[in-house]
Amino acid sequence: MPDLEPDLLRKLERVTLSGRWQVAGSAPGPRRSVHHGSSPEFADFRNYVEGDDLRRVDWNAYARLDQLFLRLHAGEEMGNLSLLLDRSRSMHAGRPLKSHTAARIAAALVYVGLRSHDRVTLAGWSGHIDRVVPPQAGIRSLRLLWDCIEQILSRPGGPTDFAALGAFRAPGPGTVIVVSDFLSETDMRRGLQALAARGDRVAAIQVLAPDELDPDFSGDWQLIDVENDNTLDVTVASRSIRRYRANLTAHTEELQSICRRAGISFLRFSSDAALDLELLPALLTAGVVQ
Amino acid sequence: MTLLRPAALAVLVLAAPIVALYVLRLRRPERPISSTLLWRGIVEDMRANAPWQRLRPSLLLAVQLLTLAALALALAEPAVSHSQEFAGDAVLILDQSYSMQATDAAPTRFAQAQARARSIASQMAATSAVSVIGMGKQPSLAIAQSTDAGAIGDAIDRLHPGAGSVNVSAALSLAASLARPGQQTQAVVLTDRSSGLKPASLHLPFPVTVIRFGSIRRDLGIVGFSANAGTFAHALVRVENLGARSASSDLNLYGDGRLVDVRPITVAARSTVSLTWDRLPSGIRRLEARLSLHDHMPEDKTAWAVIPEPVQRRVLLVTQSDYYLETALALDPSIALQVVTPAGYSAVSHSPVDVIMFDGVVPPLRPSTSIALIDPPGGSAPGVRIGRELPGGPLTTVSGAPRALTRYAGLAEAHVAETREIRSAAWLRPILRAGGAPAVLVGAHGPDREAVIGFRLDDSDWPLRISFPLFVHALVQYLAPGITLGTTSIASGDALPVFPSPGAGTLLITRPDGTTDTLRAPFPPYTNTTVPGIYAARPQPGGTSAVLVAVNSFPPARSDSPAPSISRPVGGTSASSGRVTVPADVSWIAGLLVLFLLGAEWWVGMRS
Repeated sequence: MPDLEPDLLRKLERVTLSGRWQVAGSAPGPRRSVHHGSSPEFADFRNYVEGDDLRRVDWNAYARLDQLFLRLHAGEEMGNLSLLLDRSRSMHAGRPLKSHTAARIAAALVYVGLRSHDRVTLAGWSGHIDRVVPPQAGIRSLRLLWDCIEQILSRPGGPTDFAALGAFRAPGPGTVIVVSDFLSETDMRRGLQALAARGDRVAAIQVLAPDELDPDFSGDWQLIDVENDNTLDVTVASRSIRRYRANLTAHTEELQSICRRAGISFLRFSSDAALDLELLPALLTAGVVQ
Repeated sequence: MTLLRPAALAVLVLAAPIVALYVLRLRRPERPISSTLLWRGIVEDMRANAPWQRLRPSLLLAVQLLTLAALALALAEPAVSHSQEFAGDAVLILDQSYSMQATDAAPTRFAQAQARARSIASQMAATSAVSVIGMGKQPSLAIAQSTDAGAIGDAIDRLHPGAGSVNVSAALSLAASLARPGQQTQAVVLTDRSSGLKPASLHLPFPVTVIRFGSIRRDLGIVGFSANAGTFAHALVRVENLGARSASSDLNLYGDGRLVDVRPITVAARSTVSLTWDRLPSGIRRLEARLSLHDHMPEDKTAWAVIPEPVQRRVLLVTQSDYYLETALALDPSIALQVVTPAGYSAVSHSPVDVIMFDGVVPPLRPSTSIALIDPPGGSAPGVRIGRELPGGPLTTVSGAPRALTRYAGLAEAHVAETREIRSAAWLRPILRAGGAPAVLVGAHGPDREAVIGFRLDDSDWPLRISFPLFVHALVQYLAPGITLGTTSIASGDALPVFPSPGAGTLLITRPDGTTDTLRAPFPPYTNTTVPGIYAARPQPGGTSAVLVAVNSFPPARSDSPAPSISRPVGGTSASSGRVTVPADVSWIAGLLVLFLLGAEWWVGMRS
């Protein structure tokens, strides 16, 4: 179970997921929605999904059509927070492990989401989305979701494929946050744009290990790619370190460019970051929370 | 500048593997990373399928090569020639040890030492006296306090290397004795030794300069060779590798000039192997072992051995009839027995025999050969006076009697009924007593030997014991040693003891080079054995068969250990009376350079 400092939890209690986007939810919530709500003013029907409030099922429609529909009303609605956690092998590299830091970030976001009366969905992905935890709401679901985060990230999957993100279906409009190291040769642009195209608010959180941000080794090495076992013989010296940093900068700029064009917030953390000090300011700056 | 040990420059070949370490692609340690995505552009110009890579300029490589060069220089012992003042007299000491024959310093170490000694002597002041000492097993004074350059040069030329080790202390003591009171003296030791030449331990009253010759030598040599006769002749050869590296060679064994066997051998450094032959072809007398290897010591590649011939002793027994004695003599196959009656003795008395045994009779004149008198009648006999008969008793051995005669006597149950009273000359000593009276006496008078048995064999139970024929055999061996030369093998330069056959007037000794030396009575030990090989000795007059002896110059064990440096003159002051040029070792400078470069290598390694 991810371990968050009490001080960080106290800070997170003072923020909610950002409400700049209007959401359409199936449960009453504190956030104002332009689409649907529990107010007397009817707005629309939609298909029932697991977890929806049975009191809001239109039983007349069920009698006529033998299918469950929910009545949607304009007004206060419960939002959705979807966390897409990269569980590829590369997340289990670095010191400290990137998966460990990713789990703590995800745990903090789950805490904020549940405290904000949002429904929280977890999904683990590497080559495809293969670990999905249905939407959970209420602070009583915190332990369950934290345990699920631990389980999703404890076992490494296959190579990363960002195209798999396009297959994700959020239970409803809301916020989608992707946590990954974004070190992949697959088409990041396509996957991220597919997420953003559905109108959800999307944030990309990159977690890199310290020796990936600033390699501290030198000499003759055979580098082994943990995702595909490819090897590279390299002689690491000051010149090659400078070139690596330039490559990292170019890669980051490309990722930021993709995010900017798709309206995706971008954040980066080192796996050795002091999250109790750095996480909340970064989330506030990026507008993920308010 | 000269290099005293130029062979050490061979370590420069280590530069090749050092450079190879920089050229060859080594197996790299593995490092798992999240992705090689960000490294690809970097390693594009570093990857190659070839097992080597381009040699890049490297400060570390340059320092390592410089270190190697400095190390090679230090090991090669660089020396600079400098003019050194010699005050007063000089004593030149030339090492005559076996190792000075090594050819690693062309033509030999000893030849170089002689040349250097002549050079030093020629540069001495005209008033300086020069002494020359040969440093061998025992020091020899070649010339003492001479100012004659020609005589000094001749004395140096007369010296030659020996086959053994050297006595350094004795040589320096002799040098110290040559120092004239009130006259400054310096000694120069020309050697290849590294030990035993520390001036501080010798307490010499004058300075000593040591000039060393030679370097690391390769030497696989024969250090032992012996042969013996039995049912089959057999031989043993020991080969030792005195060098620092393993060596291989073929060992060829020749018998009487014909190749008998070839055996390949490989001897590890500082090790010895032994080869034996158990069944050599019969009839071979001369053996020669040759190593096919050529190295710095050609002297020890050949060795010789002699298979001794069974000795045949000619014994003349003068008796009316003595069954016991005749039987005992006939039992010994090495004895050619001839029996005559006393009446027939005169007829054969001039034919050469080794021993004449008179049983119950005494010759009118003592023959010029060894004799034995058994139960001589009363009266005078050669060397003894025979008196009355005395009661006998058990035979007992006299303390101090020659063990060769009495060791198998076994006299515990031997008795004599009656014996003669014997008054002998001083050179006859009793070896057995019967009832307290001397019963058997032996001794040597001039070149001939004599034995006296003072009782009748029929009056004793001794001839019935097994010890009696053994005693007779030992007695004949004592009376006729039968070997012209005292041994079948000696070291080069050693004296050869000579035991001529009875009646031999001269002994002709043929040396390996074909020259002949003549020895005459009283036959002193033969000393002209400097040339290794097989020497043949023929008594004149006498038989035509030669007695052989092998002379070898086996190397002394571990005689050679290269010196690390040249010692500086110690003690004393010098006045300007003469100057000689001697090399001064400056390898310490190269050693300091090696240390400095090692520090620089460490610093460069840490920095990179």
